[in-house]
Formats: sequence, structure tokens, C-alpha cells
Amino acid sequence: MRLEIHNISKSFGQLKANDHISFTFEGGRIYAILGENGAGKSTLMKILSGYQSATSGQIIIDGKPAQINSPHHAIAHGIGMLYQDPLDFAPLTVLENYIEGKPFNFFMRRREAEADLLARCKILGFSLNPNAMVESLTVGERQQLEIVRLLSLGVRILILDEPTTGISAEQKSQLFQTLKNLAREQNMIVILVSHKLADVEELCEEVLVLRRGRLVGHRLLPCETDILVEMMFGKRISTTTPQPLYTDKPILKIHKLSVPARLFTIQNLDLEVREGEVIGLAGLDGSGQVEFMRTVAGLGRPTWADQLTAIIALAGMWWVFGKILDESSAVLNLARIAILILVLGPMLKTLYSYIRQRANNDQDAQIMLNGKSIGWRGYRDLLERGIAYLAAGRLEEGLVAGLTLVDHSALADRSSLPHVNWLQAWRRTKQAITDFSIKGQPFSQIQTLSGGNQQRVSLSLLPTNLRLILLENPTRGLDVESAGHIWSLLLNRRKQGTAIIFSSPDLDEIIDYSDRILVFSSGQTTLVENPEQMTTARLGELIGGKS
Amino acid sequence: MTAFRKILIQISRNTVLGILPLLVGILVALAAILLILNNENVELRAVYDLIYERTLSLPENRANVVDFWLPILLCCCGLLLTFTAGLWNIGIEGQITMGAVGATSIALFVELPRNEQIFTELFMAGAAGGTWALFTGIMRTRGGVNEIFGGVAMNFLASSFSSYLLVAPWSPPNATGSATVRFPANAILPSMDDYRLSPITIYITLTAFIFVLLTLSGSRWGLQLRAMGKNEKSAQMLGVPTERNIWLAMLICGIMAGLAGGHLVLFRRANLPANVSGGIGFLSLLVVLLASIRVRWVPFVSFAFALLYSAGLPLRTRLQLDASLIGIFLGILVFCVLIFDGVRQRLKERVEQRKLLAASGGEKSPPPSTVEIQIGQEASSGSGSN
Repeated sequence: MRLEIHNISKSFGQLKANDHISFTFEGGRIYAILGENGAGKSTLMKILSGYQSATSGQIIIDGKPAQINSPHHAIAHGIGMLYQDPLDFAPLTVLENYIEGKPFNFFMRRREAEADLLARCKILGFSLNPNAMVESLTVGERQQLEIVRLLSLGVRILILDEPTTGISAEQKSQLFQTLKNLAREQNMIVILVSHKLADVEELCEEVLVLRRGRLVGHRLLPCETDILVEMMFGKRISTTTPQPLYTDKPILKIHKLSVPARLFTIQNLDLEVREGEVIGLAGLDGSGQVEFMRTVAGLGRPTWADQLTAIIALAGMWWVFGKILDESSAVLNLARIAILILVLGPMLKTLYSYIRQRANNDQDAQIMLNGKSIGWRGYRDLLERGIAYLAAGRLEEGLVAGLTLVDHSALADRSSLPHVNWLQAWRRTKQAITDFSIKGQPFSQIQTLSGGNQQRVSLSLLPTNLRLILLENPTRGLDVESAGHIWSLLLNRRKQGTAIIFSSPDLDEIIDYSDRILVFSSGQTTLVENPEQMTTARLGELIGGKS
Repeated sequence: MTAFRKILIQISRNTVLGILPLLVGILVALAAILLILNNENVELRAVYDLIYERTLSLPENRANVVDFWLPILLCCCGLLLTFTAGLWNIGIEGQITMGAVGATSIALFVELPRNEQIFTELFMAGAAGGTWALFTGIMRTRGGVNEIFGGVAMNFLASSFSSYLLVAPWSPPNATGSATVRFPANAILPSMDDYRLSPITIYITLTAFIFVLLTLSGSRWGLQLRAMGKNEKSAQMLGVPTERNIWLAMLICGIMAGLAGGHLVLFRRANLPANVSGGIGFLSLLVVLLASIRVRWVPFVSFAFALLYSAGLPLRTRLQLDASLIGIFLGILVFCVLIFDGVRQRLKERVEQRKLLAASGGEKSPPPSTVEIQIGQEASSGSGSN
């Protein structure tokens, strides 16, 4: 197996995302592609996997030129890509996902496919239940499914984009062993795209470094981490361990809180958060960290007022539709009943989630901020009281694609004036660009900014007088430099007494920045008081349920 | 390239992207209509003459078109608010109906001095339409019922309720239940001396349009609605009171629709007929969609539809066209405009995607003379070492 790329270039207008990149990948070896955000790694991988076509250049596979215009073409040439968030279909079963993308047959031939799936899983050492719903799997299991699926499609060149995000240490070592076996035993080419240098050093044999769209370095591993960092950024990046700044004054008290999560329900959670403290939440994806933070932030929990309204509306609609059913027209009645179901269905669903949530929680369950119960208040109310939440999906739940930085500034402004003072909003934006080192213009649309800059904008929009910031994976998809900058901005907030609770799939990040760690495992939580004495391996064990 | 030239190029590109597909759509539709008319042995010139004669030639005809246009524009103003906030207020038909019912309840059963009478009727029309829309909004935010389903249900309820009123309590003696009795003269909206136009409706519509224009172009609330329309969750995270805004947008839209319903019964008909809205709610939805939710386009698009609808009846009778043909012509026009609007959106998305990719694809590459710092083995032309 041999993959050659010759002078691959990709331009977007005047910008060159890839600039004459040439390299030869040999079968049986594992390569890493490193580079800071915007270095051109993703563009190069998208070109190889058929999501984008190169402006110029040539791809040669086993000595033959390959024309790759779509992911379908790429798979036909034996190139497959495993994404950070696997591209699977959550509401379908493992087997149905496995069958997807196979050469078209009118009938699915389930038995044949199931036998094939199980045989492949056995070879790779995976344990997947063909009838399990994909939405019930962990990210690690979904990655396993995607690898098996790609291999069944004849993929010989496997590209992996940040594959260790969201999986446990145990799952990671299993994945790495599988990849090593695939490279050695089946002479495959494995290409890893990652920001995590530790992963690269553990798995890969060679590393390529991209900067500003160019291939600026190639090294055999092992090699010193500092050299790799310098190749990536063109300078040395120093990291400092944050000093604790917390006081003994508690600002948030949680008592006997139960939180239903995707995999488990967290029961009777007790936690006290101190002023200026940083608490990291560790656990497998779906173990309840995000749900816990959202509950504290007042997001996604139905209030009693919602239910009262739903019940009144439900009863009213039932009565009115009962009155208007027309005995003479069956078709009309059917249409009315259909509408009734469409209207009543969501109401019943909301009612059910409310009853479930209340039933799970003890009567004494309480969340107290600065000594006062925050009850069952909504997010906006809690934001006024000093609790803010930043979700991992910056453009899905945080920033509004299509609006400019100035628009965002105007939206986040708490002024009571009916009109927008655009001049003031523009000045505030300019100030934020300077203070938060945002690479963008006041009238840049938010989606045109890089992930790191979007996160900086999110932080700049938070009110200044916050008591608690809850963050879901705050450095998701950011390189070392950007992640460091985001953390320095966050840690600065502690000086005003703001506490921080964050979740992250990166155990190193949790250990480095937390004053205490709350571990979520199989519906149970464990509080680690001394993170400085914690190792990723030990934390991984705690997540896995080993006490 | 000078900045002025750049701006000119940008403006011309936006104009081409914005208007050209729409014009092409209209031309294609006209060509298709021409073909059908040719098949029916009707001269295009005769059609044009008739449309002109029955809509724009005489002041009375022009007034008739405007009278048809005003309630559509009023509904469109309300819909602009809800659509901007991402709320598909399909229930506008029901809101018009309830507005008409509200106005009728005062016109038939309350007797006040003229000014108070008119004010109370319009107040009831707005209140009934607003309340009806607010129900849908509450169901959306508190019950999790999509406003489309909620709106359809409320339309059913409104039409059933209005039919029930016409059949039973409000039915005139010895009547078939198709309409109430004619309202007393005191209850009917005053008309202009020269033309059959209601000055009150003109003032209301003008006020509504200016309010919506100012709200959506410069107000804090307009910006909040725009953000909600693009991403409600993110807007909420930025501290926008999304629930309050949904209720308010629905309420104001309902009030405007209710007032439009009030105009239909208090001026055009002078009684409450069955199917009072006559589809102007759905027509308004179409207008706002065709105008791509742009406030400035709405008066023109809605006027064009008012013109075509006003000309529909004479076209049928004078040129002896099949009744369904007028509907077909309108359908073709809408279909073509929508298709080419889709093309326009796609072109726009492509341009934006290119811009987005350009911005995220990497930094501007340095000039070739720049020497890259290369650490380690030979780069750029390196090969896998084996």
C-alpha cells in the first residue's frame, strides 16, 4: 500500500489552505499530522477523503493516479475517514448502521450482515451488540462501529480525526492497539490528526507538521515534545500550572440533586463550590456531567408553570375537540383527531419529563446560590443572578451564525433602551477584540471566525459580575496555544471570586486546571480533593468504576 | 482596486444575486401563462387591457384594489415579526376569523355612540385575534407544541366556532347560516367621500407598517427577533428573553390579523359571512415568503397579488376563461418565483460558503520569498521513510 500526494494545493480566493504539499505514505506505518488551528490539516484530510477537491496536485495510490471527487470515490479507492463525532445514525441499530453505505441491495440481508459484523468484531477484539441502538453507545463504541464499517467497505487508508476525544483511557489503549494491529498485520496506512501530542507520541511512527498551509516538517518518532511544539507554532509555548485562588466562602451548595442522564441517573448529588474555585467534571460521554451543569444553569428542566399551562391547554383542547367532532364526516374527524394528536403529543411528552424529573428528586433536593435557593428557575433568571453556561457547540448553543460581532455585543447588552446604540456596541466590540485578542473585525460574521476566536467572543460576552461559570468542554477543537489563552482568560475571572465548573473529555486538562475533580461513573459521583496527586491513569480507573 | 470600486462591485453582485433570479422567475411564469392563453385563443393584449381597465384605469377600481390590498398588507406586517423570529404562524387564518368574530360580537349586540362603537369593535377584533395567536405561542413555549401544528389546530377551532355561530346563535331568522344580518350603519367603518376606502384601515395599516419597519431595522427587540430566527437556543444563551418575545410577536401578529378580519366584516362585507378570511391569511404567508421576509419588498409583492386577485373575476367573466385557470396562473407565478428564489438562495449560500471556507481555510500564505523555519528532516518534498 502506498499513497503519494504531489503538490496538493487548495485555495479559497486569495487564501491558500494547502500550498504545494507533497509526501509519500507507506503501508504498515502510522502517521500523525500536526498543526495549529487553521494550519490546513483538515483541508488536506478532506481532500484525501473526498469532501473537497484540490485546486491543483495529484493523488497516486499504489502507482495509479486517483481522481477523488466525493467520499464515495474515496472509499472506492480505499480511503476512509473516522470523524471526531462519528457520522452514524443515532436512532438506528448498530446493524442498520453497519449496513448503511454498502453496495445497494434491495433487501438488507440482515443475517448475512450480522454474521459479517460479529466476525469482524471478533478479529478486532471489539464487543458490539448488533441490535443495540447507536444512541445508547459510548463515543468509543461508536468509533469501533465506524472502524468496522469502514474496513468492511474495503478501506486500506484510515484517517482519524481527534479519535481520543470523549473516550476513556481504557478505550483509548484498546483503540490504539487495534490501529497498530491494522497497520502491521494488514499493511494499512493509518493517519492520525490530533492536537494531543501525548497521543501522537504513543501511537505514531512518523509525524508531519503543517503551518500556514505548508508542510514545514517531517520527523520520525520518538522525538522531543518541545521540538514538535516549536515546529507547530514556530515558537516555544510555555505552560504554567495555575495557582489556586479559592476562598473558604461557599457560593453554590447542591444537596441531594438527582439528574437523569443518557446512560445513568445521577442520584443524590451533594456538592459545595467555593468562591474562586475550579471544579473539573470527569466521566464518559453521557454519564451526566453535561446534564448536571445544565440543571444547575436552569436549562432544559421544565418548570411547574410549564406543566400547569400544558395541563390546562390539554384539558381545554380535549373538551373543545370533543364538542366539534362532526358525526357526518369521518374524513374530517380523522383530520381533527390527527391534529389533536400532533398537539397533545408534545404536551404529554413535556408533562412526562417533568413528572420523571420531580419523581427522581428527593423532596429536600436543593440548589443554593449565595445561600438562597434558586428553585426551578430558568436560565435567563439565573444569568441575572450570576450563573452563566457555555455549551460545547459554540454555534449551536451560544453564538448566532449570520450575526456579526457587533450584533452579538448589542444582544448581550442589558440596556433598557428600546433602540440599539450601534456606536456603543461597535466600541464595546473593538474593546473586546483588544482585551480578548480576538482575530476578527467588528463586522465579521461570527461563523467566519476560528473555533478559538469564537470561544473568546463567547467569553467576552459574559457579564462581568458572575458568581459561577459552567463550561462544557471549553477548549474543544483548539490547539495548545488557543487552549492556553482561553484558560488564562477563564482563570482571570477567579480574581473577582467567580467559580468555574467545567467538563472535558481531556483528562490532562481536568487534572491541570481543577482545584477539585468530580468523577461521574455509572450513576455515582466521587469527589477528588487533591488533583495534583492524580494521574490520568488513576482518573481513568475512577471513571471506569474502579475505586 | 479602490474601496469605492469594491463597494460598487459588491452592490452590483448583490443586486444581480437578489433581483435577477426573481425577474427570470416572473418571465418564465409569464411565458408559461402566455402559452396557456394562446392555447385558449385569448390574446395577451386583451388580457392586459382588461387587467388595466378593471384595476388601474378608474379611481373606483384603483380604490377597490387598495381595499383588497390593505388587509393583506396588515397581515403581512404581523407575519414579518413572527417569521423574523422563526415562528411559522400558519394560524393566521384563524386569527383573522376570530378578529372578525370579535368585531361582529360588538357590531351586532352593542350600541354605542359612533366613535366609541367603532373603537370598541376594532379593539375587540384586535383582542380576539391577539388572544388566539397568543394561545399558539403559549402552546409553543410551555407545551412544546410546534406553532405550525398549534396554528392548524387553532384554525380548525376558529373556523368551527365561526360556523357554529352562523348556524345557531347569530343566524338571521329564516336564513341558511351563510352570513349574519347586515350590521347597522352606525357599526360600519366610515368611508372616504370620493372612493370606497376606509381611512381608519389606511391609518392602521400605515402605522403597522412603520412600526414593523422601525422594529426590524433599528430596535433592540428587532435584533432579538432576528437572533431568535437564526438560532433560538443561542439567543437564549445570550440572555434574550425568548419566551416573552415569542408571546409578544405572536400577540402583535394576532392583533394585526384580527384588525384585518375586523376590516373585512366592518367595511367590505358589513356582515359576518362563512369563511370570512377568504384565504387572505394564507395569501399573506405566501407574500412574506416570496418577499423573503424583507419588509421593504412586502408592500410591492402584496400589491401585485391584490392587483391579480382584483382582476381575476373580470378575466373569468369577460374573456370566458375557465374559473380554475386564474388559480392556475397564480399557481404558476408563485411556483416559478419560489423555484427561482430557491436558485437565488443557493447562489447566495454558495457565495457565503466560499467566503466562510476562505476565512477558515487558513491564513494568507506568505510570499514565496519568505523562508520557512524548518526543523527536523527535509520537508515539503519529504517522503515516508522506510
